Amino acid sequence: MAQEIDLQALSRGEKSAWDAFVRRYAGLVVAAVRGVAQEGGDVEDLVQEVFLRLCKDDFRLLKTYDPSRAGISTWLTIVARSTARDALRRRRLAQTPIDAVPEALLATDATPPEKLKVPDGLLSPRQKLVLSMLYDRDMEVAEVATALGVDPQTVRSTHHKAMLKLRSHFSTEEQ
Amino acid sequence: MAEPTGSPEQAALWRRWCEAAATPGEPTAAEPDALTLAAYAEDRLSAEGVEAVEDWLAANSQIASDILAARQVATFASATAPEAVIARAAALVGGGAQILPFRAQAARPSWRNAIAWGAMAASILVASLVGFAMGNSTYATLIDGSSVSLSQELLDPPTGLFNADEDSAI
Repeated sequence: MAQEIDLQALSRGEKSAWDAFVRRYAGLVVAAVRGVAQEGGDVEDLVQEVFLRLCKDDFRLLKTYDPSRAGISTWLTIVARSTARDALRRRRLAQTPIDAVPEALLATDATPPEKLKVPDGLLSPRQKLVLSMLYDRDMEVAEVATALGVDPQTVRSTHHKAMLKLRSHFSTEEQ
Repeated sequence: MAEPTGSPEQAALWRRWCEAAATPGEPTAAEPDALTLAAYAEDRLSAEGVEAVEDWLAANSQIASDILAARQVATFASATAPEAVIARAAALVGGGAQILPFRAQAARPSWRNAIAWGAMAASILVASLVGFAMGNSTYATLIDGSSVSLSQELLDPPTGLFNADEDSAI
């Protein structure tokens, strides 16, 4: 898909290349941003923020794109969602008065509580990721499988092995 | 055979591990850039690269939905955007803004400059002369008529054009 767009002309700031780029990928950016935006009204502004980020500072971000490492649609999806999430976070922070933040969140504890020691490498990065997506993000097994590019049975198996390790670790610790 | 996922006991075990594993101040895995995440989503990374990304993703699982979306990019790659959105984004580069230069001020002929400066000098001269004459007259009045006090001078009717005595003499 990258071949359709003259990336060199684009990074030189040529208006015709930029127009073609916007026309070609605006739909993708809208769809990517819509997945992050909570309210429909924000989508247009968020799309504008994405394109602004791509072209600002003399196309600095766009110049980092390397077609040999990833497809432009995949890269744009990651950039669009990340930009949209950052923009929404900034807006939420700007709109939240300090009085509305619970004091417990503002308090800082100089002495962190003692933690039980967990051996490094007890869980592999993938096992941690699978458990985090399943329990922190409430993702379905099929979604986790798609995100990791594996089949659902592999996700279940990874989950099972991770649970065995955790049970074994904590039962030993309690004894 | 893998056990079913998502039981409360399993979730509690995961929470317990998270609490035990979280160490404040401990350095976390370096954040991968967008291109690395995109390469991960396209299965283009080496085993070490995959492990590094997954290590970071495990601590930042909100980004996992980005990976999921990136893997499903084909489903919305053909999506279209409203024309207004396209026009607004296109205007970000070139053509959208036109810079209007200030018009250069036309050079004034030298004779007009001479007149302007001459007029200014003449007005300064006239103002100086009038001021000098008025000051001189006031000074002469104050030191000359010793019998007439200043307050009397101020209260007396004016002499000259509007002198009532002269009018009555006519």
